[in-house]
Amino acid sequence: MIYKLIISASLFISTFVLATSTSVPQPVPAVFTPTSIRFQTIDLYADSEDEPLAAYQIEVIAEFPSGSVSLVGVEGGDHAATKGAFAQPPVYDPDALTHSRIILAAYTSCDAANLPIGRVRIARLHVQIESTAGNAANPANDLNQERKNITNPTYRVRVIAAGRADGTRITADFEALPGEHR
Amino acid sequence: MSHDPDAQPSPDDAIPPRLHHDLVRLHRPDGSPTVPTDIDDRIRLIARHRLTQLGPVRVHVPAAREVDTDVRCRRLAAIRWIAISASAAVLALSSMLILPRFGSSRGASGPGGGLASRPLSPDGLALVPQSPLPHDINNDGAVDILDAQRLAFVLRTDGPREQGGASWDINADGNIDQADATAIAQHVVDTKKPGGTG
Repeated sequence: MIYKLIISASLFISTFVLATSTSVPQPVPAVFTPTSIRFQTIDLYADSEDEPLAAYQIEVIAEFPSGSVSLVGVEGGDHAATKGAFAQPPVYDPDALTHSRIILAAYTSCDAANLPIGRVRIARLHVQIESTAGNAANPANDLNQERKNITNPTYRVRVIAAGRADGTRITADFEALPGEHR
Repeated sequence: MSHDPDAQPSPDDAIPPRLHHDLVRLHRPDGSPTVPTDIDDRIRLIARHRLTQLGPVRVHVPAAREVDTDVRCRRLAAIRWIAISASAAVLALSSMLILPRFGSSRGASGPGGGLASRPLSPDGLALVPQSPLPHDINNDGAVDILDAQRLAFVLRTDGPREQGGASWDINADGNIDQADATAIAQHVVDTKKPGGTG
C-alpha cells in the first residue's frame, strides 16, 4: 500500500513536470526559405492642402503574401519642402521593426508660418523584402528572372491624426509611394 | 452459557431460570467441547450493550495487536500527506517558474520604448513609479499625437499650463516640459499598448 502510494505520487509529479516543461510555446521557425532579399524605400507624403501641418500620426501597413516586409530604417522628410518642421525622423516603436505595420508620429514646435502647406514628403522608410516567389520555378536561381517574377508588396496608410500648431484636428491625405528596389 | 447450568445460577436476571436451563441443554450436545466461561460473559456483555442501546460496542482485542494497527494507520496517513504536500509543492514551483516566462514577452520595449519601460532610479536599485497614462490634453476625446502637439504649443506660447495641473506631468519628473510631449508621442506609437490607437 505504501509503495503504491509512493509510486503513484512520483508518477504524478514526473508527468506534471514533463507536461509543464513541454507546454511552453517554442518559437516556430520560418517554414519558407527566402530566395531573394532586397531593399526598398517608401516615401510618405502628406497633403494638408491650405492648412499648415504641425503634427501627424499614421499607421503604415505592408501587405505581401509571397514573403515578408521588415522595416530597417526611418528617416525624416524633405527639409526644404517641410521648412525643416519634419526634417527629423518621426517617432516610432522600435519593436515594430520586424512587423509588417508601424505607427509613425511627429509633432513640431514651430510657428504656423514655418509649417508646410500642401503636398510634402514627411518621412522615408527603408524596408527589407524577403520573397519566396519563383523558388520552384527557377532552380538556376537567376536573380534577374526572379526579380521579374516577384510580386511587389503593397503599402497602405491609415491616418490616425493630423493637426495644426495648436493641436486642433485637420483633415489631410497621406500616401506611401514605393521607391526603387536595390 | 456455562459448563454446568445446574451448579451455577443464571447470571442474566432477565431470563427465567427454567428457560435458561433449557437453552443450555439445547445447545450442549453430549461430548462437545466446553466453552470458556469468560467468553460467555463477553458475549452476554455485548448483547446487553446492544439491547440497551448504550452505544457502540468495542470488542476487546489483544493490546499489542491494537497498537500495531494504530501505528500502521498513522504511518499510512503521514505518507499520504507527504505525497499530497510534495505534489502541491511541485505545482507551486512549476507555476513560479513557468508563469514569468509567459509574462516576460509583454511590457518589454526597446530603446525609446517610452512609458512601457519602467526606468531605474539613479542608484539603479529601485524602480521609479510608473508614469500615468497621457491625458487628453486637447480635449478632443482621443489620446494621440495632437495631445503632444497641444502640450508643445502651450509650452512654447507660455500658455496656461496650470490648467492641466499634475496630470500634464506625463513622465512624473516634477516638471511640465518638452519631455512630457515626447513621452506622449512615444506612447501613442506603441503598437503593444492595450486599448491604444495602435
